[in-house]
Formats: sequence, structure tokens, C-alpha cells
Amino acid sequence: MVPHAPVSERPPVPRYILQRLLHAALLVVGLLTVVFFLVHLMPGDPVGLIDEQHLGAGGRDLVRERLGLDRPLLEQYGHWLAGALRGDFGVSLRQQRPVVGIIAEALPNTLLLTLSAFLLELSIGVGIGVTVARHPGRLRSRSLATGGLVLYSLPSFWLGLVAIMVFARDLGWLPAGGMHAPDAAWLPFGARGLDLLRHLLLPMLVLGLGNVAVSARFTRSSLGRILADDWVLAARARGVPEGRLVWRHALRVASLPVITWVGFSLPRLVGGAVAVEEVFAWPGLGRVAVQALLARDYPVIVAVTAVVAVVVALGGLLADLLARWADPRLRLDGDRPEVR
Amino acid sequence: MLRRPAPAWSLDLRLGLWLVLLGIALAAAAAWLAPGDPSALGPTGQTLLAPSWRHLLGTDALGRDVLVRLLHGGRVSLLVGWASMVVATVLGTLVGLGAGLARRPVRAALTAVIDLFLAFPGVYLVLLLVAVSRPSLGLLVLVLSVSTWMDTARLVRTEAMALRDREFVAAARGLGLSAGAVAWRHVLPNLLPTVLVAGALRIGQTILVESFLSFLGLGPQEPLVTWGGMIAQGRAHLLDAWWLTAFPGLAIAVTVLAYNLLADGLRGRFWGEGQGEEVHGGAA
Repeated sequence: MVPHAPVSERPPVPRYILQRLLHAALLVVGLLTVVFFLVHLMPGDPVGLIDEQHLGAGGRDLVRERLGLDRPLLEQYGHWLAGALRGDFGVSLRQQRPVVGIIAEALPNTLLLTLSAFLLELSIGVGIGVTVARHPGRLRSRSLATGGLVLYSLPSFWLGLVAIMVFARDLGWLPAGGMHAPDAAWLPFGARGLDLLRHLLLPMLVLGLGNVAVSARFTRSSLGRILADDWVLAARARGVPEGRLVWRHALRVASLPVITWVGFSLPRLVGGAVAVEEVFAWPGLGRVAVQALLARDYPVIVAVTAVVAVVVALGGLLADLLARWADPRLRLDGDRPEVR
Repeated sequence: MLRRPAPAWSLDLRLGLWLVLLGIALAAAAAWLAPGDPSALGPTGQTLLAPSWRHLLGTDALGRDVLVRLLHGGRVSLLVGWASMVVATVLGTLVGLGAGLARRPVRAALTAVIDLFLAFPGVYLVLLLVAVSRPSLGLLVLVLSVSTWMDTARLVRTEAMALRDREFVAAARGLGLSAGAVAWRHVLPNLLPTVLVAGALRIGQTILVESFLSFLGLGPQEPLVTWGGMIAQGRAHLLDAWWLTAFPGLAIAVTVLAYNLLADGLRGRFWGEGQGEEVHGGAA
């Protein structure tokens, strides 16, 4: 009998992946169901909120009929589920075109903003987290942690307005909003990229800096645990330089849970982008949702919420799979003993 | 490795607590400090005055004193923040206890519900629910609680599952206590630190979401004053009246910071510095 199977002997991953895929399918159906019943169980009527003047007499009934809101609830549910699973979310009341197209245009923009802000958050947050974990209680650590907490407490839509006021209006360094300059389509490729970066910079800074505290906290607690490990003590006793020990050895071990953590952070990241997108007129999903809401464009807001939840949930599953690939220890947990 | 014992009353905790109490006192005394209707039009010729001794924080486009409106706006933010936190915490704790302690099928079903809600970025859920209902104060509280209870539920479930296997819980069950009594008398008291820290964080986060909704004009409506609404009105005067945007934003920031400091201080007090970070993981 082998007491510990060597780690290189991989467990039957395909079965696990199959399980996860089934899980993902159930998750998608579940999320679509939650969206549907939340909307229909809330007191209130989406069509009743549309201005009657835009519709004319009896217009509300017409909209209700077109949206199928006059049908029995279960029939509506079946229709919604069947449509959504095929990628059919109906037609926007405002723009008179399929909602899927609107979402497909906006999703990449949201991902661009969210991921670049996250990279910024991570690079600053890890630096702060390492400092705080190495020197807990020192003045420098405390002021860094407090600074992060202050940034975390600022309303991002307000910070965005202030940034526009200072950097776009007073200093004139950066554009106040949007994603491209009006003449971007005529610019050569390189200049177009630069133009995009100039537009990205302010929203990315506002979104990323606000969340530095979250990354810092994660790094601190993850690294703090590892620095208390015996092997760190042993390495110190052998005379490994402190900086090398922290940055090269401990941080490498501490960074493994990052993948799982990123998956877990997706709702926070995507949700946080909504206010920033709105203030900077960044054409992402958050702005689509807010504009649809202000225009009482009910099919769009329902579809955007459903799609965001599905994308976020599938991203979480992907992160879970990646984490198992990157960190062999995760494959050893739970119900499937590896000793064969 | 030895851990430094955290001071019982850390600077974070004291500062957070004082700011929270100050905020509540100012909101409670708003009607007394600044009597009259904060939305009534000001005297003519008093519009868009810069901060001065007469109007410490200036006046807005309708000649209304910004400081007076700030005091009144705090009432809405604190009321909505606290009420949503209470509803979300009660709901989250109940579901979390069920998902951690109940019999297997119930446990699995409740866990699935928590996981489904956790997949939604909270703000989108709020926007979705606001799309179908008019933003009265009560409905707003309901919307904000429905969109935020799952973070508490997740934390409570994790801890309840850990407590379930402890000897004192097994002993209570062995003595013949009902499942409800075990949950109420033996598990719940041990969860209080987690629930309190999560609740303090929740108030701050909810105030941020509420102010964003009000900023969009989807929050409580006039004549109620909201900080987010004040920022929205100031947006039209970014060029000529910075005080309209600056002060409500600072008011939100200081209030949210107070609750974040309180949460951090409580965390340090309960678990020692740098511990219990997982409570922070699911912030919206």
C-alpha cells in the first residue's frame, strides 16, 4: 500500500469536469429562473411605469400583450426559459432591435474596463498587503491600510465626477467620458489604441483605486498565515534574506488561492463597474442597464441581469477548474481519497 | 508564532463608533437643528452662493442652504441603510442557519439558493428590482435587502457547519433539545461576532448603493432629500458651483468610512488584528 500517491499521478479529471459542466447547466437554468420569479413576484408593474403619453390610449395593454405579460405565469416562465436558453431575450422597447445584439456589443467593453481595473487593484493591493503582513502595527502599515479603507468608502460615481472635474475640465489632460474620440475611426491603428487608452485611464483608476483595500486585505491574510508557517521559520534560520523569503518564496505560495479568489470576486468587480461606466459614459453592460432602466426598457434590463449573472457564474466555475489545475492540493480534498 | 493581543478599544473601533453615533445624533436632531422644509425654495437672489459664514456650505440653484439639506439627507441614508441591514441580516441568518444545520434535502436546497443569489452582482439585482417597482422608502428597503442578504447567509452557513460538529452542540442535541433550540441557544450566540461585523459593513455598502440609486433619480423622491440626489443636482453645476457636488459626496464618504472603521474595529476586537478577513470577502 502506498501511503501518499505522488502528486504527478493525476486523479480522473474528466469526471470532475463533467460534474462541473452539469453543475454549470443547472446553474444557468437556476439563474434564469431566479431572475424571472424575482421580477414577477415583486409588487409593481414594469409597464405601468412607462409614460402613457409615449404610448397613446390603450398603449400599455399593447405593450403587455407584446411582452406576453398577459399570459399565465407558468406559460410566461416556459417561454422565457426556452427563449433565453437559445439566446433570444426579445426585442428592446426603446431601440427596436434584439436585446442580444445590444448585450454582445457592451460585454467586451465591460470586461476590458473590469479586468484592467482589477490588474491595477491587484498590483497596488499586493504591495500594500505585503507591507502590512510583514510589519503589522507599524505606522507605515497602519496608514496604508487606513488609506485603502478611505478609498474603499468613497462613492465611485462621486469620485468619477471629481476626477472629471479635475483631470478633464481643469487640467484638460484626459477626455471626460466615452470610449473613443469622435474622429477615432479615421485614425491609424496605433493612434486609435492610444486614444482608447486615454479614455480608459480615468474610469480604470477610479474603479481600481477604490478596491485596492480588498486586494490588500486578501494578500495580508493569505501571506500572514504563510509567514507563520514552520517552513518560513526554518528558511529564516538557514539565513534566507527576508526580502527574498517574502517576495520569492512566501508570496508564491500565497498566490495560489488568488485564482479561486478572482472567481469569487467577479460579482464585486462587475457590479462595481456599473456606477463608473455610467459616470464616464463607458459603453458597457452597466451603462446599458442604467440607461434601459431610465428609459423603462424592461426586456433589456431583465436580459442584462440574466446575462451578467450567467457570465459571472461561468467565470467562477472556470476559476474553480483553473485553481484545481494550478494547485494540486485542491485535488486531494473532500470525498475522493487519492490513495489507491 | 505569537500573535500580538489586540487592544480592546482600538483607534479604529473608537473613531468608527464615535462617527457612527455622531451621524445618528445629527440625523435625529436634523429637524431641531434646521427646522422647516429643506426642500422649500430659498429667498430670491440667494441662488448658487459660494460657502460663506451665512451659508457654511453654500446654497444650491434654488437658493436652499446645502448644510441644511445635508442634515436632512442623512436621515434617509441612515434609515435605509439600517433598515435594509436589519432585514437582510435576519433573512440571511435564518437561511444560513437552515443551510448549515437542517436535514439534508433542506440544507442542499437552501445552499443552492444562496449560491444562485451570490452569482448576481448586487447592483444589477437592485437595478432589476427597481425596474418593476416604484421607489417608495419601504420598497427600497425591501429591494436592498433582497439584493444583499446572501453574503450574511454564506458566512452564517460556513460557521454553522463548523459549529455543528463541535462537542457542545452534539451534547445539546444528545440532551434532547429540538433542532430549533440548538440553533437558537447554542449556535446563534457563537455566530454573533460574524453577524455584527458583516452587519456593520453591510450598512456602509447599502448607503453607497442607495446614494447611487438616488443619484440616478431612482431612489426616494422629492420632497425627501437624499445625498445622491443632491450630487445629481450638482452635476449640472460642476463648472460653476463645486460645493454642490463636493459636500454631499464627502458626507457619504465619511458615513461609509465610519461603518467600515466600526467593522474593522469590531473584527480586531473579536478575532485579533488581521484575523477574520473572510467576513470581508463578499462585499458588493
